[in-house]
Amino acid sequence: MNTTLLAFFIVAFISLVAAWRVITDPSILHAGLWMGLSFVGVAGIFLLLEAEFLAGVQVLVYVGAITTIILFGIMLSDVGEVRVGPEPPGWVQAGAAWHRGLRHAFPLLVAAGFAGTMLGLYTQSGWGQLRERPLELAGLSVGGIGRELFSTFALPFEIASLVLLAALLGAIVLAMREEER
Amino acid sequence: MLVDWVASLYQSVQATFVAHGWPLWVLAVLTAVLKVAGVLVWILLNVLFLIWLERKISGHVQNRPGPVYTGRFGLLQTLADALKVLLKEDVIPAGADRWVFVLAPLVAFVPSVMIWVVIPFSRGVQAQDLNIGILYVAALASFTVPSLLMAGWSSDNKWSLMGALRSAAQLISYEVPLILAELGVVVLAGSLRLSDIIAAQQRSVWFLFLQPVGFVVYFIAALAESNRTPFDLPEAESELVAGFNTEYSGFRWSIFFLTEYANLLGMASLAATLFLGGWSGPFLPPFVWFVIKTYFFVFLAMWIRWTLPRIRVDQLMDLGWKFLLPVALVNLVVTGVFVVL
Repeated sequence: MNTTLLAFFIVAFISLVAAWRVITDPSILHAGLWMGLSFVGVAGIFLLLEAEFLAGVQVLVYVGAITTIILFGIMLSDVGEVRVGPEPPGWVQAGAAWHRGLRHAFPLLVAAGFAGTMLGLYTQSGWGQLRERPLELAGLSVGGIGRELFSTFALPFEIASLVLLAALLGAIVLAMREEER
Repeated sequence: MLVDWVASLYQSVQATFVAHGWPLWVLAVLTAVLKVAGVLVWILLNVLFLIWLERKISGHVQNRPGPVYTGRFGLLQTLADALKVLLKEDVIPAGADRWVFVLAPLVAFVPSVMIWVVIPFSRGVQAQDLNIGILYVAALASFTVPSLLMAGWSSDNKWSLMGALRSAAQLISYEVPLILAELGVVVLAGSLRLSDIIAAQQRSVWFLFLQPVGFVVYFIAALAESNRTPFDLPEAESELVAGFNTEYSGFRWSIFFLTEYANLLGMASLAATLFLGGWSGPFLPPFVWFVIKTYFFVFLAMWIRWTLPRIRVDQLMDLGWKFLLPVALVNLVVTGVFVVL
């Protein structure tokens, strides 16, 4: 086994376990921190794919902005612990135990299903062939990404920023309405 | 000449490895460990000196001598303090969230060391010349906020929490103008790689002269990012005891302290690289130029810290969002137009 593959398995394992803990951790703040770790793991996978720019942006945006904002929101909103899933039915002990097991297994099942779907999509779309070409030529260098964003993908890029702007304005409007009450 | 000597040593060691058929990854791991050790020694020595310098400068600004008893000019004062801190009891509060409490100083400290991977000390003396240089530094800097939030939250103390929230708000506000100011330099140099940025400045002039506005924005934002007066609201003693690290003691507290000065040093050396041409300069050896330029910024930051009063929270937000951000954006647009023309 070569070192890249080994590194991939380690990083992937860390991000998967972290993602699983995001759903199962009873403390919502810990869930937020696990989410940050999971994002860092994804950045590690980008690094292994030699997409340094994407890895940098991943950390900058997902750890620096999104995780921070979510942690910030949690701290401002005074929720200590959240219950995960509905209460187990008290009249069947075996059922309750089964339910407890399910409570931890269910997120894993969902994750596995999602991973299976995505893997199916990847194999169908023929993205595996991208690996044949050097990534610099595939337009994944910093300059290449910049040029692509401002030419081929200019319109989708602008649409994405418009959506974000709309979300921002919506958030401001929601916050204002709260203030008036 | 030292650089050449190290390079030739590396080559001879590599030749030995090849000759004996030893696996080359062992060599790679060895060089990586040596680089990390070198960076750690550099940071620790500098932080020891920086803390002494800070106390001396604060003393002289306030018309008193500063530390004088321990060693010549009080030079050994920090060493004595470090020993004292290490011998102190390490208290974890009973109500603390243990894991997060223990992890927070590490999450703060590790990125401040990792920044030094890309900082060029001299011609070719750089642990790794990454092609995403500045982006790498910016990405690492974004770990600071989560670490402070972790420290503040896990302490289970209202002052810690208030300090952490304040610092999070402040760092988020100033990260945007900071990165926009760095982008101005990137647009001029046409590369994110730090060695390319220095080369671009050797071809023309220091970017300080081409990006005066960007430089001012960078410096103000960097001061705010390192939580120093006039932006030290997260640790305002009169309001918050000591801010996010109130509950920390002994070794863990000293890690936070170390991080603060490592960040100051990193910020100063990055400013020297981006705006003053890094290690390039006439007559003196490149490394000496690097140290001179870095310490120029360090001195500037300390001078400002001990001269200006703390600003208010609303002023802080106004300065960040209503002044620095538009100025940085306009600067970036003007730079872009200038480069295209």
